[in-house]
Amino acid sequence: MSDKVTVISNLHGRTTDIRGRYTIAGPGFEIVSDGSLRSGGPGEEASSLDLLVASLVSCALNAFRHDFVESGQPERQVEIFARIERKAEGDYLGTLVMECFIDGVDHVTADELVAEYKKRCRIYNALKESLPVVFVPHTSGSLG
Amino acid sequence: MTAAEPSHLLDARTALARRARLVFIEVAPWRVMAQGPDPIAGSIPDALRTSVRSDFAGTPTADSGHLPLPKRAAVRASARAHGIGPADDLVLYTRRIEELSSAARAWFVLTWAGFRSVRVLDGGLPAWVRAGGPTTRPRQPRPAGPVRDHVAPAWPPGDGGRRVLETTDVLEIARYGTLLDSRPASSYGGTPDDPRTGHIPHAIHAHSAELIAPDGLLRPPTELRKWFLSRRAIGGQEVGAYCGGGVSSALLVLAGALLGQQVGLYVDSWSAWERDGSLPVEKGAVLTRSAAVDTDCG
Repeated sequence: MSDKVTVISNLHGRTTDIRGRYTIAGPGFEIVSDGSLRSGGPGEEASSLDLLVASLVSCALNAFRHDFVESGQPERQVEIFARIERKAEGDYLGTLVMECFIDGVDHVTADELVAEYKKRCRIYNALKESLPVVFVPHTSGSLG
Repeated sequence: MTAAEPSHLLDARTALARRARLVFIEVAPWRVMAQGPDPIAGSIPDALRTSVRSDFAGTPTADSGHLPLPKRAAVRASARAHGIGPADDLVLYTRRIEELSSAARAWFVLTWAGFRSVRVLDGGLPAWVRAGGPTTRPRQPRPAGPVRDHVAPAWPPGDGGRRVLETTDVLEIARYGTLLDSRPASSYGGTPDDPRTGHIPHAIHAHSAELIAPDGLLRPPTELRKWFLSRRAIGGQEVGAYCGGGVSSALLVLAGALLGQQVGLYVDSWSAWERDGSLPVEKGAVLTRSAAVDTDCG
């Protein structure tokens, strides 16, 4: 393995004129993030925890969209509703529940997609001990 | 998330096929919900005629909402007077789809009072007619009679899986859980010149009319689930609902039960909340976060 290093994420965060509001910029984009009301921030824009969850959601959307799709076949429409649940005064991060609506797949394929995601996503694998993730896949007609 | 309960909804075709074994109950709303003449002349044959105000609400008090819960014993006694017991298979419906929440309110009250099998007819009387169901002229309430199964009714303990919320519960749920406001957007937003209009702080707007599809049926389960998820109303947190008097919000409770999500009902609702000047009110369409919830990492 080569010991050559490459930079794969490069962000610039800074405070703003609004107490507890931050901007986080990368090449071509900017995210606004707020500290919680409890910590004196506005609590309106994405929290640090939202951004953490967003990274897992983004990665899962990307995987479920095209994993196992054969060449020439249309990619899937996917929706994910993610939430972190924890006891109100718990001092742990919580459990992330991701309800995934994946069009055009059966239960077997949905389970395979989740397994592939768990195997491959480095972010998931880096976090899973501290932030257990529960996937709830819904396939076309699975609730009907 | 709670376990899924037995279905609380019955489609018109199944109702028609099994009608001999079912007790149909027509529920009239507490106020006019739809304009224009009634498009259907008759009712489901032998249906018992009831109304939200007289059968599924108690007498308002100085502190209550305008449609408080009736006494459990009164609900049971009224049913017995019509020959209905806890084991009967009850099917509730409304004459118009705009009134569906009235059937949901009756479902809430009857299950809370201990009736074991209570279902709402999906799509109401219009769906029954579309399915080819017969109608007859509306009848007067059935005369008092013995309970159908000819045995002393055994009322189950508990509240039938329903949760009735008090003011303190509502304040707690608004802080830590998910509180849904099922009234129209104009009521939720409030008016600037009236300090007691608006909504309970941190309540999420969830207009119950959106649960009904254009064909007059309750939206399919996948759509319902997404609707609830997008309003943070699925999960292990406590979920509660309110409206003006605990009728339209009962539809959220029913839909939640269909999804396996318990939703508590604040029966007193806004009609009680607005009168108590000590209770907080929030205006506007923008959802606010509770300061009680720590959304930071530490």
